[in-house]
Amino acid sequence: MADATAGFRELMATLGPLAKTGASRELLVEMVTASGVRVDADLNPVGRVTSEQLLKVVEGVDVKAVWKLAARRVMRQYA
Amino acid sequence: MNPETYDHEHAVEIAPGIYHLGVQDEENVWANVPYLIVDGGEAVVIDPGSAKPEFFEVVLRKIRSVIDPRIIKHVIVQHQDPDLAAAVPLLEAYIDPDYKLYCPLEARILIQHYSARPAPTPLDDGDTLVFGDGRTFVFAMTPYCHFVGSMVTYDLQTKTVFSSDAFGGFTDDNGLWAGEDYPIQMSVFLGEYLGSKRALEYALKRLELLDQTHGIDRICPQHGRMIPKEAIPAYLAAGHALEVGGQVDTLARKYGIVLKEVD
Repeated sequence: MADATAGFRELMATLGPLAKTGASRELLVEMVTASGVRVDADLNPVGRVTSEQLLKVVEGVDVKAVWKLAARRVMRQYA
Repeated sequence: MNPETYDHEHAVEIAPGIYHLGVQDEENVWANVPYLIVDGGEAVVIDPGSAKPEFFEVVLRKIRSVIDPRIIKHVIVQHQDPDLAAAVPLLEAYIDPDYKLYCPLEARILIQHYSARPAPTPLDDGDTLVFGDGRTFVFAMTPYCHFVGSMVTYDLQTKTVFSSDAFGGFTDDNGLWAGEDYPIQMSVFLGEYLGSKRALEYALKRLELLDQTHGIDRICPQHGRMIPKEAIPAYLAAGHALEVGGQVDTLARKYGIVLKEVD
């Protein structure tokens, strides 16, 4: 499985500022957790992120249109 | 001390006679920000906002917290999108019945479909609006940024640019002024919603020219946060560095379409 840790970091660096308030932040953490990626309080990955996990995060953030836009923008660099 | 945040009840005066009427749209990580300008017993609303009741009711409440809406004699719509223009037919029930509606010439053909009572007065680059005690707005066209009929409005008295979508950003909080995260919040929004780097460059250089000739003390976009004078150079630089139109590249790659570098 390919290492997608850098892509995940880039994605969180973009989504973090778009999800700053309580409810948005909780939803983002919930989606990341559901993908199997472990993160610290600043959304940094704890350990390696696989490409499959990153894909699950990207699919998960589709729930919010603006997150989907941001994810697509970031993922263009890793496609 | 200047306020740092806004709420659902009160307009915030962000410069002499200029009131922020912002409405948070937390579900969409978004905010709509109309502005009210009051001078000498007359008032102007710029980009009055959405027709959705949960948005319009907030805007009307905020206007009423400052003035009797009947002194609003001018409504300016800087392009035709419904998030900023759909409220016009609702607002006109509360304001001066002889109010005038203004928009860029190229946007008029679309704005007529909101069925506002007056026919929109078309504006061109360099046109002015004088109201109240001589307060003067100058209109600068920013074509294709992001519609052919897009413009910004400059208040000569306070050196304020009402920038419409330009310098807007995705934000889910209620901060008034651009903070450490705003460059990303702005880049994600503008990077996705703008298609032409050339059009963006023109708009940025037009604002730089305005800054050189008259000065800009603050930029007030229709979404996201306002940019104070000291941060304006950094945001202009961020604008110049912005990549736009990425969806075209994504889809072209998907279908193996090779595009000539034209923009």
